[in-house]
Amino acid sequence: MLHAAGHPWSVTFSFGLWGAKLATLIGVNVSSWDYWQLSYPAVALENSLLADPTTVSNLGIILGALIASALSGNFSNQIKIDKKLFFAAMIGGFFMGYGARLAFGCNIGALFSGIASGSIHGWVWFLFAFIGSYFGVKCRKFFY
Amino acid sequence: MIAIKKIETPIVLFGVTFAILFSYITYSTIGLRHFLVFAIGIGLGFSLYKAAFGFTGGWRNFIEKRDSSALRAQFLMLALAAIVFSFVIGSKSFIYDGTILGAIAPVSLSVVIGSFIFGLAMQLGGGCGSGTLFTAGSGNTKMVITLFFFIIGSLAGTYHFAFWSSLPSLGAISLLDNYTLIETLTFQLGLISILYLFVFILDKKKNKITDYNNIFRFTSSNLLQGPWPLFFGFCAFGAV
Repeated sequence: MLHAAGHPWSVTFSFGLWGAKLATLIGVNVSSWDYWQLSYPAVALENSLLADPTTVSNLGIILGALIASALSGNFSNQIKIDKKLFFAAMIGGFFMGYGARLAFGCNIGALFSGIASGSIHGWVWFLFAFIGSYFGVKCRKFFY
Repeated sequence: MIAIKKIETPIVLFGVTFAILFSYITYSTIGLRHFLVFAIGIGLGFSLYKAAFGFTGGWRNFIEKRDSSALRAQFLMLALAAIVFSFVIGSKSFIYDGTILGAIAPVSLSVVIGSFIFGLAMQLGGGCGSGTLFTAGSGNTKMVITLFFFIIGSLAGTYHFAFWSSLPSLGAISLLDNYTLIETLTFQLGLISILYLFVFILDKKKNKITDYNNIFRFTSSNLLQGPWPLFFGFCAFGAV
């Protein structure tokens, strides 16, 4: 991955990019936002989605998991979602996305790749995400 | 031994066809590099699913039950990656003309707040970045919802980016740029070992573990259909 992409594995950058592409489609002028004027995001927004390494690796992960799960016969065999689970997924998903942008990545882009690259922000990320998780576990009883 | 279920052939065929089609499109419109990244992604998705490798559940097991097995697998994986990365970063890529960059970002208040929010939210959403991707891919409807809102949240995060990046920051601190390779590795591996021992001792105190190598063990002899040990999961991480 390092050799092919030229940077360590990351995941969440593409989520913002997909959101930005969607927003552009419905007429929002995302490219005027500060973040999308930074050199790397600006180029990514301009280019085809397929030119973004994170997008292609993410699609690969989704497909790989789909094949693996169908091979094990588990694809269609999933839990039903009720209203509470839906809210948990909604709140959890939204704030993971928001948090990841502030923190320059997720467990992969910041913790794993950051620490492995010798960047101190990876360690800081680990510490505070772990503390956050401690409170998150306590909050789970309201939803699960 | 875990019972083996029937293969869902149509879904497998759909996945494989789509993968081939997408490989072709990526290769012909963008190039070899992106095709390779896509192929590695497939391997990762496959292995992550098989090993059920996730940060979220692993951390929760430790927080709730002091079960340190997933955390220990993660520390081993980090140690391995830290060693490999130290040698590869800054060198030329084999595949294209360019230098391999590290994931270096500023140490700032926004990282502190953002990672705290992320850590809390991942316990509610039920998966981290990669965890959400592979569980959504494996057919888990709840995680598809999580993924959808993950995308919306990411966009919202970019909207407020200017504000958050104006918060106090120490700037980016790269160990490799400031210290020698030996010093960096000593610090990194030392810290990882201390944390490994720390969670192991807490686990042992509470749960009296006798099976030290559970993270390496297969519970099923069927490689294609049965679950893989956690060890395999972190080898997959090591590959990236």
